[in-house]
Amino acid sequence: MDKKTVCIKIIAVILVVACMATAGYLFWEHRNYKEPVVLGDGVTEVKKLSEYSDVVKGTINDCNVYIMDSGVEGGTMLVFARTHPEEPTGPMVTNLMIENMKVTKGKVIIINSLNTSGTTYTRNGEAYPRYFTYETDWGVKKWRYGDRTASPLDSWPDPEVYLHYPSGQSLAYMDIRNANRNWPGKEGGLLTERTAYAVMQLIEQEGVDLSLDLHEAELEYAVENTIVAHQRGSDVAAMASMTLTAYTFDVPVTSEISPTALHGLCHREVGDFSDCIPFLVEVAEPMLDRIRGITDEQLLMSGKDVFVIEAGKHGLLYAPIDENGWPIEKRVARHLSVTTSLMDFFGQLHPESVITVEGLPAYEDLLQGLGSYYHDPSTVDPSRIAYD
Amino acid sequence: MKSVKMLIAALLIFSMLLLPACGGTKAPEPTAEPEVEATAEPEAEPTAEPEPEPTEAPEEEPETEPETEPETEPETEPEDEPEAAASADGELKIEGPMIVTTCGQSPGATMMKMIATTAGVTADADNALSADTFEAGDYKTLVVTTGTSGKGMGAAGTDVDDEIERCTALIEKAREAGLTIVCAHIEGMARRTDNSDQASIDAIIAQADMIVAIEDSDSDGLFTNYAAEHNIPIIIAPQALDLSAYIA
Repeated sequence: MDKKTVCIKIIAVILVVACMATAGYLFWEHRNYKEPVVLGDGVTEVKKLSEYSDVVKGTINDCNVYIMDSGVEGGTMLVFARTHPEEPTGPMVTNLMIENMKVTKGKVIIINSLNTSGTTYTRNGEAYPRYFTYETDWGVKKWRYGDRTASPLDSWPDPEVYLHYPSGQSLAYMDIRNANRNWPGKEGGLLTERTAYAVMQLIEQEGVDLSLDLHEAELEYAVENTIVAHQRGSDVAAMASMTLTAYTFDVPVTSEISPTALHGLCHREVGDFSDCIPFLVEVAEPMLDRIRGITDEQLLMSGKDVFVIEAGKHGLLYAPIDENGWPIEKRVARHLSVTTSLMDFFGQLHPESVITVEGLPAYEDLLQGLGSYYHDPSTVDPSRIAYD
Repeated sequence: MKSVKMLIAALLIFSMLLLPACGGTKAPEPTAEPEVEATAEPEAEPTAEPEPEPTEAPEEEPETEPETEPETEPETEPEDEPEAAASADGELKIEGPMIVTTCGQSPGATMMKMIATTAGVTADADNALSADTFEAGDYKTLVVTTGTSGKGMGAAGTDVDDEIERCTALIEKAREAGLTIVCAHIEGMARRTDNSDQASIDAIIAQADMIVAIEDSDSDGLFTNYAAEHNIPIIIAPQALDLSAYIA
């Protein structure tokens, strides 16, 4: 082998190792980044999910559970986000609630990151950003961006066909890692089955009256800008959707009753296997559309994409979109409005389970910007910071 | 030999360049199994036409808050000849007590019940109400909401043809009992997207004594034109909640 060839081979090896090291560091950094959560005055306790069931103890999905207890008898609501970690509006809403909300009657329980495993990697081949951020007066608030399902590093191997427990319904293999296909969970199952089982224990032990799962969906998909409710909550969902559509939102939010024969979804199984009445809400996220263009944080947060907008002009979408896109401010404002509206109407229709809160911004205020509702963790007593 | 090596190297580089392209054009996971995705999520009907106009809030808010228990009790027996009710000021009204069902298993019946409750009028909703289970009792009005939910019908083990058959028999029996038959469409263009939606509308509106719709549902004039052509009384409200003002 001549010197030139050896030299080329050495350079090639160095380049490959450099690429591997860089990629490895980026993967490691993404997986190990801890999100600081400033605990507002309304947070009375931070628990771990494993305190309700040890089936998740020692796993990455042993997430924080934020308790906001008024000390006044009333209802209990569970709000959880990042069932699908590629949907950023959920954690932005729950973070905002944790930092600003005070519960004046009843109790609100919040989970920022239900499927934490899914927040530690992104989808192969899709060039997703690793993080999403929001500018504030004090700097940038940053969250991990993730995939729809738990990481194979934490839940492996997938079965050939996933059989949902206990219904036995057949689902696609990767849905074993989809946190919204495993309810009501399985004590000895794989990671997301155990996660759902632990949350069901939480619901039972805390006496949760209603739950809300925060989601986003592509505009090409029919389940869009919708509140999905268990049949026991259809009246609450109907009132919330009609009221918000009439008086608050520019784009209607519809309601839908959870199908009885489709299993594994929270709005079906939580209602069937507990006294809790579950709801799920969707808002438009153009980044999830397959026809999108450049896949970056700009698209994720602005919700503007020329290809999706063009598809809308041809009548191919289930939600309207124009040059303004679906900005994160609007998505957060809609989800927070749905959350408080469900809380209000649940209390009206179930007077024994009233929950009242204060300190949350109004829909119109959120449209002006979210930055002032997130606080600088560097200026807060470290005992009032948790990490997701 | 050198040229062979060069060729192999070129092929390797070419294949490496193809890899990201394959990754980039691969369909995302949720859509890679469309049949699972389509059945595993409950279907909400399309929320809007391709480019619906933003819905404007009505100028006046409803005067009453939703109540857990309806306040109004039935007062009179059903009339022999059903006809659209009119209030003292001559404004068209939907008379309670009412029984509501859906032709298409959408949440419209629940919405209508809640609107009536908001107005303090007794209303019951039953998505499976049939001629066999129907009892007229004190009801003065049968409201059938139109527009369909594909997943709702699938989950209920029915389809639009069965729904129309059920509702047609029900309407016949309700009419014999003297009830006013109302065809309602109160979920906007989200429930006017496909042939099933149109079939449910066509079937029920043809049997109706009165039509009730919201402005979004009637954005193309479907309901107002039908009412004018067939001389049927019609109520059009800006928003679903505004219908409470038309219920007595």
